[in-house]
Amino acid sequence: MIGDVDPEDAYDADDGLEDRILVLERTVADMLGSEPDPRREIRRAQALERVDRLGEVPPEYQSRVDAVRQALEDMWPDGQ
Amino acid sequence: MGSRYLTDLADVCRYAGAVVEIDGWQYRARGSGGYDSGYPNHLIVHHTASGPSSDPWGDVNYCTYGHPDAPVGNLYLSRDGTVYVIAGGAANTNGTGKDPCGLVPDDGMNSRSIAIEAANGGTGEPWPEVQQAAYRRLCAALLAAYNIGIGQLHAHFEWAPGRKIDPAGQSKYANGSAMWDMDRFRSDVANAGAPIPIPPDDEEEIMYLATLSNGDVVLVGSTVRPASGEELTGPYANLPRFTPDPSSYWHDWLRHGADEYARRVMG
Repeated sequence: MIGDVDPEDAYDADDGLEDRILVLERTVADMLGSEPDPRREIRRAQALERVDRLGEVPPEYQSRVDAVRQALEDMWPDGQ
Repeated sequence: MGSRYLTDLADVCRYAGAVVEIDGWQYRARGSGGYDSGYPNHLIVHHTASGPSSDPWGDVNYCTYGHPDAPVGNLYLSRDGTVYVIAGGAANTNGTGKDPCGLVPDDGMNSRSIAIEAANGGTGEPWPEVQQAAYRRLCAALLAAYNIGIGQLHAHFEWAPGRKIDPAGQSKYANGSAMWDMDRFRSDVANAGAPIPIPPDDEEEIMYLATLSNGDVVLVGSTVRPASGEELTGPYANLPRFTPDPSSYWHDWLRHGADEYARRVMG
């Protein structure tokens, strides 16, 4: 779907940590600009799973991962 | 970083119909490069969610160069059934998801599949018959050439349910804007086979046929096996390689479209 490409369409679990975090950051930015709906909730839940799967990250990445997780957790399905 | 690039991809696609090669396609890839050994082992079908005004060059340019995550897809299938070859390495477009047949790790499809972006708005726009037929032939040729099982042909929506709906739209496989019946599509692909060239009298020559939207079968090109060059691999190893001649009927057909070609040649 080139007319509706989600940032996570570029995500691949085999990619390096930097690339995976970058896609997560872009996903959050994209979702913050969209209206709450069931599809956004699916994307939010999947993004949180991907953050979990990052596991322990080197210290230099920790603040970025924390910021992504916080943004996703703050993004309630009803938009509040 | 994978090192397998599908440098025979354009040749394989020619068994589906007309092909346009986008410069540099052989080694174009996402950041992870080519495929690892044993891959690709999936074929993922999409629609573009774009309108006719950008088909083909607006879409092809976007997939190849314009999108920040380019290349988006390995192949682009236009509404007239022409295949544009974009990337011989792994591409971005499948993204996060889960494999229905369990062969690919979660979120790992981009680096393990061939992806086709087929031109359609995705909101109920009818799929032309010629495009649907080309989609079936293209899938059949790719599965055969790369030894991918029919069970590893998936819709994007099967890989990413809830997040994606493609392919969808009025066709043999769906009514209105519904998502395609993929079991029916897979069945048709399994029965489609790849187009078979006419056995040439002269072993150095080969003729190619295409089926038009009105059902007529026409000659669309002829070629000469190169004196030297890469050998085809897989099930097409014994077939001559297609080398377009700029003055050939094939190029007339590309320029004017199959129906116009048939009108001029067949009266």
